[in-house]
Amino acid sequence: MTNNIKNSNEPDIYLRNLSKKFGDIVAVRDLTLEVHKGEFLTLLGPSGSGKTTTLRMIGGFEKPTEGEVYIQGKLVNDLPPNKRSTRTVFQDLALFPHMTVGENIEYGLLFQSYNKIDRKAKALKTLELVDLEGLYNRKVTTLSGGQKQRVALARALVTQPPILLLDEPLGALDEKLRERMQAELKNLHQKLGITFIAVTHNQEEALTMSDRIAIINNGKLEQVATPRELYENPKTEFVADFIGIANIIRGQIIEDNAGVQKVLSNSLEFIIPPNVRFNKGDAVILVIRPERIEIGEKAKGHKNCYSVKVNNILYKGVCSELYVIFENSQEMRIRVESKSCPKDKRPGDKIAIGWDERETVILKIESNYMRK
Amino acid sequence: MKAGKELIKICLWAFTILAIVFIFLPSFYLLVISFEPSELERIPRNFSEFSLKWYIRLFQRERLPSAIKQSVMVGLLTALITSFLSLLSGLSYRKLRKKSYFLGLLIFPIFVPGIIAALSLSVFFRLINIRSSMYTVVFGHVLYSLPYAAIVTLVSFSGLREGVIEAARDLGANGFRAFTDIIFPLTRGGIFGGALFGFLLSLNEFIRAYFLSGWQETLSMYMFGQMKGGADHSIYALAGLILSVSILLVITAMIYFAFIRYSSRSMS
Repeated sequence: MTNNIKNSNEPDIYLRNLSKKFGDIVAVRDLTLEVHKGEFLTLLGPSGSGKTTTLRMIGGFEKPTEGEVYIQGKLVNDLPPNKRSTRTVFQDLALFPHMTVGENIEYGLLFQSYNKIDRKAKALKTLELVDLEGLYNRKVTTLSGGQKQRVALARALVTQPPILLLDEPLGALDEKLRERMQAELKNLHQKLGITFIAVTHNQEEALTMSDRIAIINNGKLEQVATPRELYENPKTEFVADFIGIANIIRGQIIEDNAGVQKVLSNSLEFIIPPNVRFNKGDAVILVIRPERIEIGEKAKGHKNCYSVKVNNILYKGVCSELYVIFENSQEMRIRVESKSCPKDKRPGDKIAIGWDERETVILKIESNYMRK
Repeated sequence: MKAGKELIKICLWAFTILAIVFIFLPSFYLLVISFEPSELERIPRNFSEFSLKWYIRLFQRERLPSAIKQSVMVGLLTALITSFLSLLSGLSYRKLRKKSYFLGLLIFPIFVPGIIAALSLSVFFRLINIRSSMYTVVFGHVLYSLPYAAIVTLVSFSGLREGVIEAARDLGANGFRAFTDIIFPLTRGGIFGGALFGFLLSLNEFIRAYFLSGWQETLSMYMFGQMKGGADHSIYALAGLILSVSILLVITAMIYFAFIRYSSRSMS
């Protein structure tokens, strides 16, 4: 499939060196991103990171200050929303309150060459797609949150757009409904085969639904990758910290007499993954995921093995979390299966922990990186 | 403790009712005495004395029909122009960043005394060689009613969310269709309200009409003239008529607004 895309032609969406300023505030800075045809890509980042602004520039609701937006190979910077082939599901859904469900859904068809009968047929078919049969004549003001959500989806999908933009599409729903809709959105995406671009600040939502995730922070694109790649191979400290839970060790590269590189962090030495090479003295961070750390006897087989003090043990059902502290006061979070969690350990006790150095990620810290 | 609270509640209600009576009684009194057939300024003694004599006399007057026609024409034109300008102010209010300055500027004319507004306009029209006519009166009345009408319109625009307009554009509507399909249907209550304000304020306005009119007088000018000339009681009949029409219009509008609110209740 990947080959297919590369050969077929240009990406569905291509953002080139995109920037957006509101007065003195830079919302998006120099962002370049390609979205492939048929892909489900999510823009993920903390609130105020510029992800919604980016989506709005694709939809035509904001004009880029610099850079270009290409949709299916066409430069669309100067095209208003109604001249673009994208359709949007808005954050507050933005259903037309003075219209019925049917009228809402058929609205987009008014601008295409359909007669009344065709419009109704298409609306009914789309209602079926989102599981809302029988609500055609209802006033939208009488619908529940989940139903409104589906009407907004149907309204955007009825014109069969090649690209669907979703701005925090599930933001208005409660936790349970949200989870169900995540799965449904993913299903819908597979069924329709069109390009979905979603914006969310909800990490779990992004991981569940997306083919690829673009992490945006402070208006800058940090990394675009599959959910797995982001978790296992983060390219920046922000991504490491933002996706899942990360234990981060800060230190400097040192070399022993044999030329083997290690990280020195507050008088403790850590073995780094093989196949990486740094300059002596480089400032780096080591990223270790909590579930990759082993405890007790198993820990002793690793080169990275330390005796630490237990601060706290939290039982969480299948898993348990241990909060430990190194002798250099480095803190670490560990997740183990509850059945292998030692039951005799109390806060204050010593415990052995260790991990395979190949399970860690090491990143050189940019001098201009600002810690949040 | 509880009795004290009850007492306060009763006092508040009594005060409210008193205030309402105080506001409406004088006008109502005027309405009632217009049915007294004699020349005396009094309430008819018993029900059988109620008479439409002065109302009949009223319509036998020569100048009245043309004054009514003039007032209705001025009122309708004022309503049309004022509501259109209010609509424009609502549309621009959406886009503006410093909304409070705009609002202040829009409302300021309320604080200019009528006589000064009237005088300055009449001097101004003379300066640029525009002769007094119905249109100069309309001009004065638009300036007068615009702040009130605009406030009514802006209230309905403040309930309009930008998202629904963007949704319309997203689905293929150009700016004009977004207006006709979305903005207007969702704000028309305020726009009609503005028109109603324009009409009623114009209908009842005297001082600007007096300064800006040409040879044809408006209804309020006619009434003023009649009173000054020591007219008979048909003036009360006219007052009663205007009052009834105004109240009828307002009640119609209230029912209409209630209907709109009912039909799009959860818009906010």
